[in-house]
Amino acid sequence: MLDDAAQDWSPEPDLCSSLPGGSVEAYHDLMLNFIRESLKLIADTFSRPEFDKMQPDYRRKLLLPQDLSVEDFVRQELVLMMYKARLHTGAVLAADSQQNIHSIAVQFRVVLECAANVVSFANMAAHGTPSEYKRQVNMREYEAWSAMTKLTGSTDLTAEMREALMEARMEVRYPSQKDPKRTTISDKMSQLVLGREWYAHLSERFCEGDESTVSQAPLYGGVVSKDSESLQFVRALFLDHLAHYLILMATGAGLILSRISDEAQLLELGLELLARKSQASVPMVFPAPAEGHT
Amino acid sequence: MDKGSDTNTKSVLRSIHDACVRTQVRLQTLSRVNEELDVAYCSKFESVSTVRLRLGKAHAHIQAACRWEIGPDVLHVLSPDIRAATRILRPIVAEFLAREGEANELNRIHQQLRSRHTKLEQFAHPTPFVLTLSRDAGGFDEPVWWLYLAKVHLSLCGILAEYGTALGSFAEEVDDEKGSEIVALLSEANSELSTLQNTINRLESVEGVQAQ
Repeated sequence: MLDDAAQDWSPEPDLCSSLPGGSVEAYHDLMLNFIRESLKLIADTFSRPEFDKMQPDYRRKLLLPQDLSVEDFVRQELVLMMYKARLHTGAVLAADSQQNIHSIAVQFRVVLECAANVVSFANMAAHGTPSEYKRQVNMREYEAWSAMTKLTGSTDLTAEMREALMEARMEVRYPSQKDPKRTTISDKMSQLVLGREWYAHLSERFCEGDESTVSQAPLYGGVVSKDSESLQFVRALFLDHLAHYLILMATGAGLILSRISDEAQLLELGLELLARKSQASVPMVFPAPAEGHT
Repeated sequence: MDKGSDTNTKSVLRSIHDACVRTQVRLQTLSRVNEELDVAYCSKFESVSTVRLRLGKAHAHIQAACRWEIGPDVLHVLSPDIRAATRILRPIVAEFLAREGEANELNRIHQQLRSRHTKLEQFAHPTPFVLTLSRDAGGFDEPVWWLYLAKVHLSLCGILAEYGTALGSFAEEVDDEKGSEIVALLSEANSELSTLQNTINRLESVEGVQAQ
C-alpha cells in the first residue's frame, strides 16, 4: 500500500474510503479504541486478587523467586511485563493526543519488546518442545548475564554469580556447564510476525538519529510533513500495529495462564479481540533500510 | 532509621524532586527558544539545515519528556524520549565541543552537567530479569528513593546539557542573544546540580552507594 520511494506520502482520496472506518479520522479512532479495549482486557485480568501481591507497588519490594511457587513466579513475570507495556502504551496515547509521532515511535518500540518477551514464552508453552525450552532458558540466562555484567561494569560473571547460575540450572533440570550463547533482540523479535521489520524501522528511523532520516516524512523518522491528515494517517498506522502487538501479547499471556491454571478467560477474550482486529488493519510496507544500515 | 535521619532523608527527597521539576521547566524554556530560533532561521535563510531538522526532532522528544510528573514510574516513560533526543542531538553537540575549546563557557557547563551522565539502556530493553531489578535500574523493585530521584535528575540534566548546547550552537548562526539566554539557563541548572551534588555525596558516604 505504501510506496517505498514515497518521501512525503499521504493517503489518496480514493484510498481513504477503503481505510478501516472509511476515513483517516475514523481509522485513527478505531485503532485508539482497539488499544483502549486491549488495555482494559489486560487491566481487568491482572487486577484480580490472585495477582495482588505481585503488582509493582512502589511502597514495597517485589516478592523474591524463592518465596513464590513456580506458578506465581510465572504470574509475577507476566504482571511485570504487562505493567511495563501498559506504562509505555499510556505514553503512546499521551503522545498521540499531542500529535507527537516521534514519541509514539520510541514508546512503541518498548511495547514491541514486551510483546516479543511474552509471545516468545507463550510459544514455548504452546509447543513445549525440548529445543524451544532450551532456547528460552538460554535467552533468559544470556539476558540476566548481560544485565548483571552491565550493572557491575565487568565483562564476565563473578565466581559467586556463576555459582548461583549453576544452582539455578539444577533447579530447572538444565545441568549444562557451558556459558549461555549470545542472543539478540532481533532473535526475540523473530517470534513476532513482522517483529524484526518493525523493530528495525523504529530503531533505525526513530532511535538512532541518522542524518538521512531527518529530512524525510514522519513515517520514515523525519520532521518534514505536508498536512495534518497525512500526520494523522501515520499516527493511525502506528496505533494500528501497536494494537495488534498489544492484543497478541495479552493473548500470549492468556495462553501461558491457561497452561498453569484453569484460567482461560484472557486467552478466549484475546483470541476474539485478535480476530476482530485482524479484519481492520492497514498493512505496513517498510522502506529500504536507512543509509548506513543493512 | 532514627527520626532525625528520616526527616533529613525526606528533606533530601523533596530537594531532588523539586530540582527535577525545575529541570523540566528549563527544558520547556529551551523548547520555546528552539521554536523562536526556528522562526528566525526561516526568515533569514532559505536553505534546509540538517541542524534545524535535528533540533525539530529533539523538540518533539523534549515536549514528551516535560509532560510527566516526577513519580515512581517516571524514569520508565522518560527514558525512550531522553535516549532518542540524545542520539539525534549528539552529532551537533560533538561538532560544537570539538570546534570550541575548553575556554568556551557553554562547553565548560556542558561538561559539568554531563559529568555524571546516567545510562538508561535497561529501561528501553525490558527482559524478565531486568524488570525484577530496582526502579533506578530498569525494573520495578523498591529502590533507595533518593538514589532513584538522583538518577531522574541526572538524566534530565544530561538531556538539558545536550539540548542547550545544540541550541547554543544553532543560535551562533541565527541569533547571538538567544545564545546568552541559553548559557544563563544552563549555568543556573549547573549551580543547582552542584549544590545537590554535595548533599548526594554526603548521603553516598553515609550509605555506601553511588548515584550513577
